[in-house]
Amino acid sequence: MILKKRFSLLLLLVAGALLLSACGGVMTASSWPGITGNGDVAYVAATTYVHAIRLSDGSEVWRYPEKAEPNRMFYAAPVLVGDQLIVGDYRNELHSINPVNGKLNWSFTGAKGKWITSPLALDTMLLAPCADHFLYALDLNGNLLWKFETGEPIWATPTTDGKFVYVASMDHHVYALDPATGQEQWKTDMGAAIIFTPTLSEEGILYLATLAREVLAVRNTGEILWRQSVENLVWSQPVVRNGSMYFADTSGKVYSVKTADGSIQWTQSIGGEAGTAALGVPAVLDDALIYGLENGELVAISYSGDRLWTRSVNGTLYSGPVLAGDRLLVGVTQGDRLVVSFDLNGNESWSFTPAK
Amino acid sequence: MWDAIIITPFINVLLFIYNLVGQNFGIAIILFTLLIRLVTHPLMAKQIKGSQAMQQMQNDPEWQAIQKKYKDDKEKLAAEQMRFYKERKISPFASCLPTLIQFPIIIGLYQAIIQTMASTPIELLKLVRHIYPALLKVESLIPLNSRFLWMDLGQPERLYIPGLSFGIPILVIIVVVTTYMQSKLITPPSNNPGDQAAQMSKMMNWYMPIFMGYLAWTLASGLALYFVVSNLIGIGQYALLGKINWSNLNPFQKATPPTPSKDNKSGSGTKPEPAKKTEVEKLPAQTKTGSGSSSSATSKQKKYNAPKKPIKKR
Repeated sequence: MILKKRFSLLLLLVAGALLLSACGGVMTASSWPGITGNGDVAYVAATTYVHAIRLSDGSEVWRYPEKAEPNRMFYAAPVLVGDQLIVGDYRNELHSINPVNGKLNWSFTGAKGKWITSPLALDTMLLAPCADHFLYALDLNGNLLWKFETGEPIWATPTTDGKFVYVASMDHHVYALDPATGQEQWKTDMGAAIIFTPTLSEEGILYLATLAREVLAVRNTGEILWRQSVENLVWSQPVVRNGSMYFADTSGKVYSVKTADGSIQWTQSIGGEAGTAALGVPAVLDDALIYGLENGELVAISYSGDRLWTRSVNGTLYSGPVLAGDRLLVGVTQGDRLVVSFDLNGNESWSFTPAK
Repeated sequence: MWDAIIITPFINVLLFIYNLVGQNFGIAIILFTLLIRLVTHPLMAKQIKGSQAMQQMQNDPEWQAIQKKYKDDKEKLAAEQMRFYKERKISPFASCLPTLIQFPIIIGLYQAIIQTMASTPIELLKLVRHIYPALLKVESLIPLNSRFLWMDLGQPERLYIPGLSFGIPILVIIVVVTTYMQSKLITPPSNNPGDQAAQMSKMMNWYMPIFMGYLAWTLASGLALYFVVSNLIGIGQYALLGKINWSNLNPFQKATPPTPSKDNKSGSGTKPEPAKKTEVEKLPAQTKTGSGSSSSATSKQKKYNAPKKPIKKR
C-alpha cells in the first residue's frame, strides 16, 4: 500500500517536473536553424543536432553528435574553414567537425556561455563571440590565442576589413580590435544593444541596427555618420547595395534608406494587414531581397520596393532563407519540416525533416 | 490572452521594479515576489483557514466515528459527510477556490521571471515585445544586469572558492533547507492513523525539498532565488496567521499542532476542541432517527473557524 502511494507520489513529481519544464520553456525552440551551404552540401544546426544535407535532394549525409544530449543545442550557423566545420552549442562548447563524415576533430571548452552566433573564420584563426561577454581568438587546432572582454554577451558575428575586426556587443558598443593581438583600437557607444552583425560596405562604413529602433552608419574610425529612427523594432541585419541600405522591422515594413545620410527612400509593407514581423537576415539576390516572415511566408521584394512573389511554409520563420548555390534554403522553426528548399523563383524543390 | 492579461503586465512590473532599484535583477525578483504574494495574501489566508478546517475535521473523533461506522456504505457516508459539513459550517471549497484564483497569478509570476531572464534570441525577441514602450525604454533595459551577489541569475548557481576545483551550490542548499522548513512548518498534524492525506504530506515533506533542490541545481539561479524568497514568504505568511509551530522542525519530536496566537479569537491556528464523548456515543441513535435534526445540530453546532473555547493541549 505504502509502496503504491510512494509510486503515485513519484509519478506526481515527475508530472510536476514535466509541467515546470514546459513552463520554463526548456523544450521550446530558443533560436532558429543556422544554415550554411557549401558546394553540394548544406550544414544545418538545429536543436540537438548538426545535419549535413545533400543539396541535390535534401537527403541526410550525417548528423552530429550521433546521440542527442540534453541541453546541448546547436543553433549558430556552422562555418567551414579548410577541412573543418566549426559550430558552437548552448552548453558552452565549440566543436570542430570533419565536414565529410561528421566526426569530431576537437572541441574548445574554455568559454562559460552559450555560442549564440557563428565565429568569423580568418586564414589562420577563428574569432568566436560568446554569450559569456568574450570574443575568443583560436588557432585552427582550437588553442586559445587571446580573448577580449566586452561588457555584455556578444550575439553578433564579428566582421573584418582586413585591418581591424569589428565586434558589436550587447553592451551597446562596437569595438575595433587588432586581430593579431586582440588590442582594442576604438569603441563607440551605439546607444542600445546590438543583436545582428553590422554590415560592412566597400567604403569601410558599418551599418547596423540597435534595439533602440534605430539604424546607424559608423565609419571605420568609430565616428557615427548618421542614425535613423524607425517606428518599430528592427530585428534584422541591414543589407547594403548600390548606395542604398535595406532593413525590415517587426511590423513587416521594409525600408530603403540612402547610405549617404540615412534618409528614407521608400518603405514597403510586406507583413500584410496583421503587420507580421520580418526578421533576421534576408537572402540577397541580384534582383531581389528575400525576407522570411514570422507567419511562415517567404517574400521576394525588388530593390525598388515591388513585391515579386510570396511563398508559404508551415511554421515560423525567424530569419530569411540562406542562398546555397542556386537554391534558397529556409530554416523553419516549429514547423513540420526543418528545411525547405526553393529555387530562385520560389519553386519548392525538396524539404528535409530529420529522422527521429 | 494569457500573455496580455497576466504575463505582459507582470513582466513590465518586474522590469519597472528592476529600474527602480538601480537595475539589480536579484533585488527586483525578491521585491516582485514579495509584492505578488502580498497582493494574494488574503486569498492565501482564506485557503489556509479552509484547508485547516478540513484537516480539523479529519481529526475530529465524531467524524472518525462516522467514517468507521459507515465504512462499507459509501452513499450513507457521503450523506453524513454533507450533514457534518452543514453542522460545522465547513465549506469543502473554501480552500479550493482561493487556490484556483491564486494559481494563474503564481504561474504568471513564475513565467514572468523566466521570460525576463531571456538568454537566447527568441526569448529576447519575445521579451522585447512584452515591454510597454510608454513605461520602459528597451535600450536602457536590455540586456538585463543579471549579476547578483556571486551569481549570474541566468545560469545555474555555483560558488567557486579558491583552492576548490568544484563550485558549491549554495543556493541549492538554501532551496532544499527552506523547502523542508516550509513543508514541516505548515503541515498540519493529524491524529487519525488512517489519514491518507497526512501520510502523503509526510512523504511530500521529504520528496519536495529534493525535487526543488534538483530544479535549483539545473535551472537558472534567478529561479532558485525565487524559490527561496517564495519559501520564506510562505513561512512568513503562515507565521502571520499563527499557523506555525517551530518545534515541528525538531526531527526527534512528533508533529504538534500550531500554537495559537494571543489574539486568536477567530480560532485560526487552533486545534479543534475534541468532540465530547457523549456526543459520539449518541451518534448512532441520532442517525437512526434521522441525522441532523435541527435541535441536535444547533446544540452541537461548532464552526471550525471560530471555536469559542480556549485551546487545550492534549
